Amino acid sequence: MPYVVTADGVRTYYEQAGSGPALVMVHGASQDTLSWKYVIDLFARHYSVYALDLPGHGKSGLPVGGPHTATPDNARTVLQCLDALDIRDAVLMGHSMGGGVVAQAAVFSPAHVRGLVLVDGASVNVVKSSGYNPHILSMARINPGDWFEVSFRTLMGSAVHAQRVEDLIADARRCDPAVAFADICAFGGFRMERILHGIRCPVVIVQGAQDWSVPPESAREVARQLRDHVPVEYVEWQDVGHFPQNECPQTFYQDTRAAMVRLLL
Amino acid sequence: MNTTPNLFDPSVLAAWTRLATSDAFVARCAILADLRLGLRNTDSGQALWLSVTENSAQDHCVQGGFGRQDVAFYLEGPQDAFDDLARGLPFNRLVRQHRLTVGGDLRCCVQNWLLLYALMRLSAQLEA
Repeated sequence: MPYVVTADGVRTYYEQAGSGPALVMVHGASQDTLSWKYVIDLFARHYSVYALDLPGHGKSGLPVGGPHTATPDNARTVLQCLDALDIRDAVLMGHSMGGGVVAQAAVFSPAHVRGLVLVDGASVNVVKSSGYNPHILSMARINPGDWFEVSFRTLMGSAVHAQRVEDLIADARRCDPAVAFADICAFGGFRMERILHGIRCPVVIVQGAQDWSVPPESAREVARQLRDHVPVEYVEWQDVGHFPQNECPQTFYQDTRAAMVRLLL
Repeated sequence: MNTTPNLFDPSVLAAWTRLATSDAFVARCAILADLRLGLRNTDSGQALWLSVTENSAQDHCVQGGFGRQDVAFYLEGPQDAFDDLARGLPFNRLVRQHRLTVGGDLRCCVQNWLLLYALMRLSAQLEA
């Protein structure tokens, strides 16, 4: 199985498919590369796709200091993976928490990032939308496994097939609870609105209209702010929740790929 | 015409407990359960309780009544939060957006988060 060791010494698992320009996929909280399992082969028709397990997730090792509780730490890991894989530049696709990770990576190292795809991951005013203030964090810490299961069950769109929900839950429940809670801290503590001005590449934002954790109003606001200085494509699907790549993979692929092509990505 | 059921109506509560007792997902989440929780409407002052008990590996029982006696924890909020719960908004969304708050034993509440979800999601299936 393919692993790479980052400069920080984290043994990081990745999956690779296809050939062409590099497209690196970064999963969301309490998830792993399986988050992309329905779409990797579709995007691999046009790209050399790399799907990463962030530290502590899936088959990747934990950092020496324990799970990452801050988005910039995960962003540094992604950039170190690019270096370790000898990828000069890539389009970074991030879902949910992973959206913040790839956006931060683009600000840290613009030369590495040709473009961004934020999948229900364009989040501003996250405390208001997701509610993650210190009190809610103290609740989530008690039982991160159930917390995520309930969150994921209620974040699915109305058109999703019941079996797809169970797939997603089974994957999420495999996450180490301490890592899952660290993800909540990373997601809830990140302020994308503070870094948007530093993004210098084209951005595709795709969004489920029924997502209440990263709501469409938030994604539209990110698009509005980014349009001041970079090209942006915005796509929104009705009847879709927080997980479009799982809920409607074909539509997700077709619309996202079309938006990427419009931005020459 | 407003057809949102009032969760604090005795007939609605009775239907809720019947539905929960026969629900397979509640049964799955009720393994080893012995829980009594409350809901409190801060506008009207009304309160109700729901209890979940596992009778055997294949059987569970959900009961309900009014008041707040012996509940381990309770969710409280204004009428519009309970109306939205009955319209299908997830209880965890209402908690995370601070429209419902938890009183009593917070740890017990979150330890039973999945069971709570199993029960609360059924409120959207009740009729006025």
